[in-house]
Amino acid sequence: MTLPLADLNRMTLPAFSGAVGETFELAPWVAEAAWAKRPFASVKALHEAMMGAVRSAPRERQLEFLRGHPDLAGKAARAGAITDDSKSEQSSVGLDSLGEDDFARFHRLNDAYRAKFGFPFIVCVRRHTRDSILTQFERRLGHDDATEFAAALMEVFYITRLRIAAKVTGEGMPRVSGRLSTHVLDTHAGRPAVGVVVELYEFAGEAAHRIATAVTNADGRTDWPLIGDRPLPIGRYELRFAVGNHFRSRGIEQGDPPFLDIVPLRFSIAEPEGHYHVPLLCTPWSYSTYRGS
Amino acid sequence: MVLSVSGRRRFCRGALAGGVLAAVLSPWGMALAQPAPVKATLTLAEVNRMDEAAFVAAFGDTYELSPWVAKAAFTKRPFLTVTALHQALADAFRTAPREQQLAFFHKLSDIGDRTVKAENITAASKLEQSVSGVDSLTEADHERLKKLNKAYRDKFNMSFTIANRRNTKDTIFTQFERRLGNDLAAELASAIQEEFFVTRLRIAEQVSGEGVPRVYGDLTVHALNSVVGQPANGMVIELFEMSGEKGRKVAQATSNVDGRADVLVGRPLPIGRYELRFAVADYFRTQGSTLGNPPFLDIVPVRLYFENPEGSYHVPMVCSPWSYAVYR
Repeated sequence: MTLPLADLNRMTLPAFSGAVGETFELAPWVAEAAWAKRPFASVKALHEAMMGAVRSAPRERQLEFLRGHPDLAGKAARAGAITDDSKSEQSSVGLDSLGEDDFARFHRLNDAYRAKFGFPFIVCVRRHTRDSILTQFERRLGHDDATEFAAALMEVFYITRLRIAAKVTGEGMPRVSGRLSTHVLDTHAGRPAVGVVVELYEFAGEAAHRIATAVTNADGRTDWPLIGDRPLPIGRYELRFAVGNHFRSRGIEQGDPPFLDIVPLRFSIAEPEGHYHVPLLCTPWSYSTYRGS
Repeated sequence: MVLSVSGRRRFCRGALAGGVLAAVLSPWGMALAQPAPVKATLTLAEVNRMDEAAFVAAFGDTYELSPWVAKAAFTKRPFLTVTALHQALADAFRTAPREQQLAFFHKLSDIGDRTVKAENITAASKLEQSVSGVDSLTEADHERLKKLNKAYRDKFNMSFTIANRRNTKDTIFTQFERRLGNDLAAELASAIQEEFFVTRLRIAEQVSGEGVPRVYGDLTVHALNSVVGQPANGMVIELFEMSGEKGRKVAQATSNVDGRADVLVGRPLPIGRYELRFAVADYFRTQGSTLGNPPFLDIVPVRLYFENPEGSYHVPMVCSPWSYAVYR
């Protein structure tokens, strides 16, 4: 259920706290401090006010706040002792259903991180694939205290921005979604390639998991973005285009079996809120791609 | 695995008739270097001067264990080209009585048969089978091959013949299953055609001179940096043979100052599915280019199919950190 910003601006403190108090993990004081800054001209301003409250809080309070976050894929998550938002965020990348090996690896990293920094590792999981969470985890373990404290607050910013954008509607919504799209052009015919099956795979290590399937329409595009209305998780991907079938259906000479059959485009996403347009221009003997927007 | 062998493609008795073995093997049986070229041991002029005994000694085993083929071909001397020499042997086999042809295929031992005694396998034959990987199958594949061998013998009373060096493990299985559906006449023709390919490779590697038949293909690449419009020097390119989603690395090369690299040359390109992998991000890092984190393009895979083992496949890769084009 979403809440209009105008309604929020008229709320009493208890109502306001009830509505957005859980946005910052187990820290109702953030909402209380932000409430004093009403009215908010935009949803972005609401989020900024809440982040401002965190940033201007005394260091001890900030630490206490960071410590209130659950371990990633930790026992708390498995036992269900975290907020509903955290739970669904962690399940979005499969952190709630890790194999024993991966669970043990996360556990070791969590312990090492906590021992070094005194709070749990915080990352906006919806902006990452499982692989990039592990990469981030290992990289951030090497930070010094100040750098890592700032990095943790930045992740809080991303997490709560997503939560606010999901809860509140109105003017000036923060940009929290990215878009991955494609376009298949048959440069042999000089026309959009219609009816081409396109699959999107996400890599976890060397294993690729299919996360979306689409068929190109009369314009050579897919009816919906391959990923849209959510952040594009940072990570490695592969688009696979059934080019051989396309030219076979057109009756074009292309070798038997075809020189090109399934064409894979392997790329990485680094900007979760970015637009990634990855088109394929192809003939039976060649293809090209580029990052468009 | 990269190697050059004098064309044996199966187990057989008898000494290696000619050709120099040169194999470069890693502990994993993976290609780490290009093969040393096979040095032909005979010239066509020498062959044309041979008496019958010398000729049969040289080519009596080209068609395995069957000096009668060489004896019949000997009468066709002189040979103007190496191709004509091979053609004479192939004609001798083709015009032989059908019973003699069937007997030839009957006495060959089965492909991938681990029970063949060491003295019954030439070194060349072992290498030959290792090219396609049929000597190092998983237990499941080995069982599958055994079943196919039995079904084939039951149906045709022959041993399945295929030019190993022109095929990958996957296409050997595909061909095996397809050819099991043949009738005897069609299958005998297929077997003779495969034997033609096997012996053509053997002759081409054994005899030098005019008109050597084309028995090798080549896969070459050309890497171009479209940011600066220059050849991309020092890009690493790997070639994987694909079986399902699994890849087996078969070659690696680095582009030269002209952006070019010979990935697979000096041998037949085994029929099958492949993936070329261009290390694009590593290359642009050496150029000081700004890349995403992680880079938008890192390893760029190009999946392709070789259908002609003696063909020329030239695959240029024109790339920037954000785009690429590839074509045959």
